[in-house]
This record gives sequence, C-alpha cells and structure tokens, in this order.
Amino acid sequence: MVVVSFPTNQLKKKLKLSGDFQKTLSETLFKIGMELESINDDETIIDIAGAGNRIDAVSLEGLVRIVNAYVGNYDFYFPKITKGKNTINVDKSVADIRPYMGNFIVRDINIDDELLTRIINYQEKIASTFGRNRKVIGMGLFKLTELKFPLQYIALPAKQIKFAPLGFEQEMTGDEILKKHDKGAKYGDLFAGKDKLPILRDANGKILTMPGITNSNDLGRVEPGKQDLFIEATGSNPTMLIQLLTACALDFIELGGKIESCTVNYNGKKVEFPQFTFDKYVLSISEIESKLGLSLSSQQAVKLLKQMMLPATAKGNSVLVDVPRFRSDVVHKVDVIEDVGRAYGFDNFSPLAPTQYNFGKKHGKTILFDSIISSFVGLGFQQVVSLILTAKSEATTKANVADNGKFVELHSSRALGLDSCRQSLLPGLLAIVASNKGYSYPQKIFEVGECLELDKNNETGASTTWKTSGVIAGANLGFADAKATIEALGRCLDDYKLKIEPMEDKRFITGRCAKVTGKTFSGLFGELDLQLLRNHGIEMPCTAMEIELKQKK
Amino acid sequence: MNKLDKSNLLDKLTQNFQRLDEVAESIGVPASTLASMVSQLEEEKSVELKREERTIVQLTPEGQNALKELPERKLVSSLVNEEEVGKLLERTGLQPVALQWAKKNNWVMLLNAGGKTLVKKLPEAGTKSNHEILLAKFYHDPIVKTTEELRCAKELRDRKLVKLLEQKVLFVKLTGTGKVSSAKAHRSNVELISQVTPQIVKFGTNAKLREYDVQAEVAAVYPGKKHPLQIMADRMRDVLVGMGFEEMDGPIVESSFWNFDVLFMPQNHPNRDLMDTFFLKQPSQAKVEPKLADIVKQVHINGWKTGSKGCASQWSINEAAKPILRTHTTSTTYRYLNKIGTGEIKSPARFFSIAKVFRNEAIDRTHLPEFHQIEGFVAADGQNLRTLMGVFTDFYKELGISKIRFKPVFNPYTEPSMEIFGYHEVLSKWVEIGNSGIFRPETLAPFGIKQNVLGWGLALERAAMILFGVDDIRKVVGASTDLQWIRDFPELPEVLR
Repeated sequence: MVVVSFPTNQLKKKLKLSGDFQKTLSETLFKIGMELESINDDETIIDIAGAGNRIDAVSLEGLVRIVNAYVGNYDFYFPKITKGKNTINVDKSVADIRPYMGNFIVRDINIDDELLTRIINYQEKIASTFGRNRKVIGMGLFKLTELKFPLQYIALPAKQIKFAPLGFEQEMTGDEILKKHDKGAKYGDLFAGKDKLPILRDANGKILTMPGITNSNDLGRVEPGKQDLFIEATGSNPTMLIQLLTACALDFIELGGKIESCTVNYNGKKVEFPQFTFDKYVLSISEIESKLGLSLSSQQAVKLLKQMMLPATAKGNSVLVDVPRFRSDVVHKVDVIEDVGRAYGFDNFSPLAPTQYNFGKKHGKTILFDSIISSFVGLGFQQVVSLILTAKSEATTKANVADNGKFVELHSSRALGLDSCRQSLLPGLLAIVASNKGYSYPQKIFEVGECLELDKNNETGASTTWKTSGVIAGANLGFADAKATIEALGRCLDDYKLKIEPMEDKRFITGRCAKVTGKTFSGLFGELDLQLLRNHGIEMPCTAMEIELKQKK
Repeated sequence: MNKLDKSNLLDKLTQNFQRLDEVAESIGVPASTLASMVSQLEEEKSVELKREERTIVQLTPEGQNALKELPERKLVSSLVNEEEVGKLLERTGLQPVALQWAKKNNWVMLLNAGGKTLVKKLPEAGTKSNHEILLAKFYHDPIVKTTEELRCAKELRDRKLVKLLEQKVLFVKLTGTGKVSSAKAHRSNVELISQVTPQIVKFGTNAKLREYDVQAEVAAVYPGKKHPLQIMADRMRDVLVGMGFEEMDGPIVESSFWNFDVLFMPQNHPNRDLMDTFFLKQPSQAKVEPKLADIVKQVHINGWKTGSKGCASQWSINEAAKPILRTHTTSTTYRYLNKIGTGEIKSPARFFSIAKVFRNEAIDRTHLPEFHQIEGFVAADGQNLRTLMGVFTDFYKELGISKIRFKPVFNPYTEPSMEIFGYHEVLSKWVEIGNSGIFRPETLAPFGIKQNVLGWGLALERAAMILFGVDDIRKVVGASTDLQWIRDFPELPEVLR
C-alpha cells in the first residue's frame, strides 16, 4: 500500500472535476485504480498502489496530471528544457556501494512554506516506499548558488569524510555521523559491511551529502524564497532513477521552475538527466480485443490512451504508443493494453458467461476429509480449526513429545512465539480445551487437517501429512469411549479389520493407550497423561486419539 | 432413572424451600419431569412454589486469563514510580483502557510536566480493585448476590471478561396439606405416572399419565457440528465444482522459485522479505529444475522471448531455492500450468483450491499469520477480461452477493488486474472480496502457454468474517477458540440459505 496525503485546498484548486468534489474524486480514483482513503477540509489521503506502481503518482502535481488526463482535461506532453553544461563525475569506488546517480537543475523556482513542506514529505515518501527505506532510491535538494561544478560522486573511508550533517553546526566524521546522527543510526545498515561511504562533493571539496544517510547542514538546508536548486537522486536501481527524475522534473516545471539538464559521467559513459523521452510500443487492435474482449477501432484506442497520458497515433489496425520514461509499471505491451481498459472504465465492461465448461470435481483429499468430518460430527464431536504454525516447545516439551528432528522451522516470525509447523494436531486441541474451562462438559472436539514434516526425498524438503485428532474432555468418560470412536471411524472408512495393540506413549496413561493400525489409517488413542493435562491447566479427565490418514497415490 | 410418582415425590420434599433442580438431581430425574409434577401438586395445594430470577456470571476465555492479572494490574506492577504515558503503554504493550481503570481505581494519577503527560503510581496501587476481587469471586461462585455485585458484573461484561446469564430458579416446599397427602398416599393407590415404561406400552395401566409443563426449561444439547469456516469452505467448493472447476492440491512448504520467481516477482521484491514471508531454517534448501530455472532467469533479466523488458538486473538460483511457507496458492496454480505445458493436463482447464497460505504477520482481531485462500484459474481459448468478470458474476451470485463491481489494481503477475468489490447490505458499503487478473505473458511463456489464463484469489476467513459478522477471528480459529460461540453457531447460517 502506498498512501499519499495532500492539502485538500490544493487538490481542489488543481483538479478539474465537475460536480460534487468528494464524490467525483472518489469515483474517478476508483476507476483509475486508486482509493480515496479519507478527506476533510485540511487533508486528503489517497492509496495510489492500485494505479500500477506509478512513481509519478506520489507527488501532488503528478496525481493531478493523472486524474485530469483521465477525465479529459489534460493533454500530456514533454515541455522543452535547457541543455545544461554542468557535469557530475561518478567515481568507480561507488560501484559496489551505491552505484547510480542522477541530477538536474531547477532555476527560478519560488518556494513558499507550504511547498517546502510538500517537497520534504515527497522526498520521504519516495524514499520509504519505492526507495524501500532509501535502499533502492533516495533523493535530495541543494542550494545551487553555493556549488562549484564539476561535482564528484565518490566513496571514501568513513574517517576521511568530514562535514556538518543536517541539524548539527559542527563537523563530524563519517563514523560519528553513523553513530550520533539520528538518520545515521537509522539508515547506517545500508552500508553495513562496506569499508567506505559514498559522498557527493563539489569542485571545492565541499560535501553536499552522504547519500542514503543525510545532507550537509549548510548546503542541504533549503529555505523558502525564489531560488535555483540542484536535485540529486542516488540508488541501486538505474531504471527507477530515470523514472523518478523524469516525473520530478515535470513537477518542478508545473510549479514554475525552469529545468536545466545535467550530465552524469560514469568514467566516460555520459548519461543526461532528466530524460524527457519515450519507449515505443506497437499494439494491434486484435491484441487489445484478445485481452479485453473489446472490439475497438485504432482511433478509439488512441483516444483512450490519451486519457492515460500515453500519446498515440493510429496506423491502420495498429496503434503506435509513446510511453514516457516515468511510467515505472510498463515493461510489456500488456501493460499498455491494460491502460486502454482502465480508460474504457471497468464498470463499462459487460461480463461474458463461458461458452464451454469443464467437468468439476473435488480432490480426493477433500472427499476423505469430508467423510472424516461427517463421521466425527455423527459421533457428537464439534469440529475446530487451529493453526499449522506452532511453538516448538508447545509441540514437544509441553505436549510430552520428544523432538524427532523433523520439524519445519521458521527463520523468523512476527507472530509471537510461533516458530515451527505442527506435526500433530493434538496440542492444538488441548490448547482449545484449556481455554474453554468455563463451558459445559463433556467437550468433544476434533480437527482434520494438514501437518508438515521434513522429508529429504521431497523436492521442497518437506512433505504434507493428513491427520485427524479428537479429544473428549469430561468426567466418567474414558478409554472405552476413545476405542468406540476409533472403531466407529474404521467402519465409516470401510476399514473393518483394525489391529489394536497395547502401546506406551508419554502422552497417555501407562496401560491405557493403544496403537491402531488399519488399511486407511494408523495412530494412537487412550486416556491422556495427567501431567500432560496439568501442563495445559486442564482440570478434567481427557481421552484422545491422533491418527494419520493414508494418502492414496 | 427411578420410578417416580406423586407419593414418593412428596416423601422427598420438606417444609423448607429447596431448589427444584437440586431435588431433581438428588432423586435422579430430569428437572423438566419434576417441574411438571410439582406444578400439579401446586394446584392440589400440596406444595408451594417460589420463582426467583438470578444472574449467573460466566468467565470468558479472556476473563480466565485476566484472573491471574488484569491489564491495569500489569500496568501498575511494571510502573516503578512515574513514566511518560506513551512510553509506558508502548513498553508494556497495553491498551489505554488499562490506564483508565488504573486511574479509576485510584492506583495512579496523571501529571503534566514539560508538555509531557506522566503516569504516577499511588500508594493505593497496593489494594485490590473491585474487579480483581469480584472476578475471582465469580470464578468460584458465579451467582450475583448484591446490587453492588451486579453493577460490577456489568462492568466486567463490558470489558468482555465475563458473560451474564439470566437464570430462572424454581424453589419448592411441602405445605401442611402436602405433608398429609404424602402420608395418605402411602395408604391409597391413586396414581399419577410421569414416565411411560415399556411395560405400560405393552400391558397398559390404570394410572393416569401426568400432563407436562411444556414450557419448562430443559438442558441444552450440543450436537456435533462442522466448524463455521468449514461450512463456508464447503459452500464455496460446491459452487466452484458446480461451475466446472476441479480441485487441485500442492505443497505448503514451497520453493521461492514456484512461489515468486515463476510469477515474475523480482528477487528484491518487497514481498520476498523476511518481514513479509516465512522463510525457513529447516528445510534449508529446495530443489529447482535447472532448465526451467534458466528460462525464468532470462525472463527476469531481459524478458526472454516474451517481448518484455524483464523485471530485474540480477537473478540467482540460490535465492530461488530458498524454501518458504507458501504466501499464496498461486504457486500451486503454476505447478498445474506446468502440467499444461507438459501435456499432462489439456486445455481447456478449470481448477481451484481452498487451502492454507502464510504471511509473516502479528496476530490481532482481523489478522492471522495463516489463512485459507480460495484460488482458481481458467486456461482456455477465448478468455479475456470480460470472461473473467463473468466468472465472478456467477460465483458471487451463488453466494448471495449480486451487486459487484470491478476496480483496476496492480499485481506483479497479472495484467490486466482487478479487485472485486461486493456491496455489503448490512454495512451499506462496498467491500473488497477478491483479487484477480490475466496472468502476465512473462509467467506463461516458460511453460509454452500462449492463450490467456485467468487467475483469482480471495481469503476464506475474510469472507467468513464479513458474511458471518465475526468481529474477532481469534475466537473462531486457534488456541483461544470460543467453544460456546462455535456450539451456538448455526449449521446453516441465514446468509448461506
């Protein structure tokens, strides 16, 4: 979920929507694939994720372009920009640290308090969402007048780096910044294990920024007023860098700035930013029809694509489409075809019933589980559902079971205490009996479901087993009830000749446990061990059964 | 059961009020049988009846947990002297309501210092609160005795720690007449019989069969039943089978390859993070078929023959071989699409599954780290966005949801993609009820599939919560299952009729 928030009055001013503002905005966003999360006089919150991972929707100006184009009130084009002479040299040393850099200059931009806040929020939003907490991408703004070109992007040992970071008057070394600066502590992990840190410095050696961490307190502190700015973005994803800077430059033009390009020099390979260029796609109207089920003329498709900010021309039965460089979501012509569908409006499609059907049927597992369920239900048991995830200690120590070394174990878990997958259903049932002490007895519950265990012979390293387990909690009930249940299950599953033998198992009272072997299932049943019951805080005698169901190959 | 008639019943009663259910238990007859007898004896003025209503307090599972420690007790026990409000709540993981009760009990006071609100512990924190005292009392003795107890019980109920049950209790005692009749009955042979016996059926009797009080309360019977999620899953399965879908099954422990790579999800995709997906310590590695892996690698890096730009600059087979708990059953869908590629399954094919999937999430009222996904695909000629919409129109109509609309959405492995919204009549709003799309060509080309394949998924638990009005998924699934809630849940809920 990528959620953006803008001042409502700005949106009202810039969006060209007719009718009731809130209603039209909400409907239009829904059609585009976004969601209006909330709106009041001050703030409007929009979830843009469904619009297709579009980096150009993160800014107010970008969102306004998208919405206005959709309702037919904006024609997208790339304005002319000035080709600049300034260069940023990228040193080889950043290659395995934070390899990519892109820049441009904005002149004569008038920044008031409101815009400054929005720009700062925008930078943060880009870094935390698309930038994955600055790992993939991050950006900064600097006062142009104080810079002497060419700049140099280089990685240096932390001790050799010295500048005053944002919020500090005194100079600190790279090491100190990572330790003492709040952003250093927060984002220092970006460069964990590296012996150098990246910096951008000007021809006089003044450091602008340690990308990913923090900017210079002196050069990186932008204040309100009319000014010239230098824009910097760095990261690990070169495509996203192009998309971000292209979208961002368009925004500054709309805010009244004049863009001047910069050249980034990767050891002789020169790349210019921002890139106001297109990727070309050719669609045939039959391809559109195949995906969307709509027979459109190429002229209709052109008109629809315009609503999605995609300039296109019709050529016979084909459509030539220009996809601007900020469209992070377009990698294949199906992405362009989807835009035709969005512009057409999903509400305007009429659903089609299938013209041929297949033979529907249940899986053998479901048929088996269904019969287990109806058998237990007929015997008066209530079905319960517990989690496959479990705490290994609950499944072993607390359950009187030795660790057989076959547990599927999690690497890390945000769900408190859960660290493995169950091999048995019984502990889950006991936990449920334990938490329902207040209700009337007898309590007869069962579960049928999947368990997991390590299995070297399986492609994924584990296999799924099918198990069923039942517990009867109540006074005056015992072994005979469990045995009667097992035998009834046997009859239900066409398994009449069950072999029942005495068995020792720490989960059951000695001498009151049996092993059952049939042709369709095998397992254990009996009266549960008293210490096991106490381990769970259960104060009622319990009998139980735990059975593995054979899987038919 | 003992044979019981009027005379020996009168023998069992005294001239002091006794609880009817206790008398019934002591002589081993159902309370309903006894109730009908005594009401007749009341008419004959042999006994006097007294009816009382009382309130019974029953601890909920939360209440039983709170026996050990109420949240406000936990709050003051972990508070040394004073602490900033937000920090205290964050550190202890408690809700603000714990603070409210601690304040009400006069255990703490709030201070304003330097723009911060501090919680200060007071000496009264040493004393027990009404809630603590009465919760323990009700655990041992569930009957409400005083109006003060009732007031407190209602507060505990509002905190969801207890349930209050209104119980009607009948008391019975012998009147003077009754005492005489009891004695007389021993001498006469006038009989009124409650229980019909096989002998009476066979041979008849001179005695009169007593009329029962048909409104007398009987003990509840709880039959064995399916779990509500099973009821929901069964209904959905029936609908899908009826629509011509065949059920599929696949591994729960899955390789990253089938869960992510095949689905054109780059290896640095945020979902492939430890924070979102359960990666496994054991097993430590899955096998990946090298030939298929090589094609998928090319698809990621340059789009292979699909006309795509690809989605990544790097791809490693080691990353693909990492085993995980599947995050969706789409992994199973692709294993079946692979079978279409090899010719084991023929197009047209329609498959579905209702099976467990896992997300690395903390547990709360609406989230579990595992849930059932209902997944399906259609691989046939002539499929497109409109036929996809057709699938849902049929499916949801069968489930009683006829107002649906579609919203474009972004999914990594489908294009076009759409979310399905259903109009919830009770909530009077549109709620998301499914996600779907046409699988991207990049995900199908490795299997040689050129036709459009429709795919979709929805969460069973979410659908059940919406349709069954469940406010807390934890009382339905897992260790804190509320057995009584499930016992009382209908076998055929109105919404599924």
